[in-house]
Amino acid sequence: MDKFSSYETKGMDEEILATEEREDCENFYDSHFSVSAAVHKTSFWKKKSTKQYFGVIWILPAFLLLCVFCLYPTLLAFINSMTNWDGGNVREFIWFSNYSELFADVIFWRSLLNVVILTVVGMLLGNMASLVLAELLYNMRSKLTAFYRFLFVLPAMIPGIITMLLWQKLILSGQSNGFMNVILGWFGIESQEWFASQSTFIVFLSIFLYGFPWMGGTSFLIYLAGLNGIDESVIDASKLDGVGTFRRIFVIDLPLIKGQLKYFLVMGIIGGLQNYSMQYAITFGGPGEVAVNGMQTGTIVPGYYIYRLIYGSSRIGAYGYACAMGVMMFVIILIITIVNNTLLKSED
Amino acid sequence: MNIKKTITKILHHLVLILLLVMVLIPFYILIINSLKLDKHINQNPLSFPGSMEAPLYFGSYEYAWDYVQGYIFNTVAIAVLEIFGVLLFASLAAYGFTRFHFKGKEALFTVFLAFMMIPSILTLAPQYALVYRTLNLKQSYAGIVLPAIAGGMPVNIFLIKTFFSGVPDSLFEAAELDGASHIRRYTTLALPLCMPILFTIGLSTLLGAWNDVIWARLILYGNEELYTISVGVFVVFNDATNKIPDNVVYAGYCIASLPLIIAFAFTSKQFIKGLTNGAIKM
Repeated sequence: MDKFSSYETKGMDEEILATEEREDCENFYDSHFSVSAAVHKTSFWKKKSTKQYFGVIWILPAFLLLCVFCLYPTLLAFINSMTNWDGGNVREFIWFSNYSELFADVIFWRSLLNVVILTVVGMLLGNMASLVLAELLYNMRSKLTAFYRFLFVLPAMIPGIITMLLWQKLILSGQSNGFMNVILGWFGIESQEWFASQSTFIVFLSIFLYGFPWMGGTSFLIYLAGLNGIDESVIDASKLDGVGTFRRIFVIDLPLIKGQLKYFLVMGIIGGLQNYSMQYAITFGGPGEVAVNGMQTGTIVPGYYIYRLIYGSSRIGAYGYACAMGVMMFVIILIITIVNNTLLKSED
Repeated sequence: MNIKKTITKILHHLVLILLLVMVLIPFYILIINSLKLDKHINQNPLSFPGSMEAPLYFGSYEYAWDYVQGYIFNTVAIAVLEIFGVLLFASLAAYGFTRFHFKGKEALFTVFLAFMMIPSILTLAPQYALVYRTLNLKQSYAGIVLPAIAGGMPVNIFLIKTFFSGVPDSLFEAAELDGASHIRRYTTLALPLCMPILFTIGLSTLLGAWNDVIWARLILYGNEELYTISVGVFVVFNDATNKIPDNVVYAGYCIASLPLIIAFAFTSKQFIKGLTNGAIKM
């Protein structure tokens, strides 16, 4: 971090010097500033207090955009969760019928269970892998670190959908000459259908295997930045005390990058509960028995349920129901976030 | 002692190289299959192009380019519009929040912050109905760009404001005494000083635009002229009725991945700094 911040400051200085007011600024500093700054400051605000309201104009464009595309849809979501909205003009209040239906909706509860499993396992795998990689790079202290870092970030530059389709078609492909099946063959294990399997367990397994060893990307960078921020003297002291690398990781490194761990815990839960990219691109919620409007339920998650309600659903009042589901998810995420924050705060 | 150290070091490198190979293997398999003919891919996806089993074939890239060039253009156009809009509106608002002092400012800022707590899963349905039907922005760039700019406002205003607040008041006051207007102070003082965070935000907006497929497809579906990379790859290449052979599909994947990889290769230092910047500032 020190390296970063010093770089930034340096950049800043250059930028300022490049501005035209350079000389004027310097003169101002030299002759007046140290003496009269406090006096100036108070008189500034007093003289121009009405002009201060012009600040609203600067904020207005952002505020209008926010109102139209965020605030209004949020209000619509809450209001229409109590209607049979079809997304267009049909909208009658049916009050809490959507919610009572939701509580009795087996598919919704199934989707909640699925998303919890996917989020928990996904976060464990992803964060452990990123931490291991960050520690490997941190402990290496070699000129090649930057080179490795570059290559591990590279996969993040490929559009996510391409990576997903690539895994589906070439790595976890159902054909016997697919990459994973060839590897299984070496161990005498028979070929699997992976994403196309009729077994929900195999499809879940495929989703977990996707991205193995879960290291390519950008999250390890944030752990690495955290580790690089640890004071050198702490590490040196631990070495003098004869603490081995493995013990140091648990006793010193992890407690000192708590901030990063918390960040990924909170963001991982919020993002994970809403995620449905695998269902969208590969599994379509399958496998399993077909439920309403051709939707399968094996790997269904709430986000995908909502998506299918608003896109190509023939259900009457689909948008109203989707809004009710959205409100449910909002409440769940809000509660988890609040609990999370209180627990994490009390720990400090 | 020294031998032990050297061995540890070599082991360290070996582990990293092994992991790197595992991370990159899918992309290696993608590239070799983009250089083969369809029938050879079906015979054995793991055969090396140029071997006896599967002769080298570059033709797929030519076919794929016909599709992908339009997608790349659309994606770049959308990304540029989003980046420009996000940076402009967020920095204007952040300037308003830091350099002006009026009643209710804090409350207004809290309203912005509160929207960081609104998950997209809540607003997907009404936002889609609003943009697609009410505002009738279907099959247009605007239907993608405007919601993206608006959605990025809360967190980006917060990030830029944090940066603006770090600039000493005295600089702005000095400029004001010199008769510089607010617009001049904004363009010549505030913005240049906050380049690192603007770069970070621009980068995350770029990656967001590049990777978005769900919303872009909802809005663009039906107008192939406007498809972005992600939508084109998912909708057109994946559609069995188009009968696009696998080698062309894989070549398309490769071409579509190239622009960001090239950009990354040339600016990886700033890229990596930009990627870590935002999360830590939060």
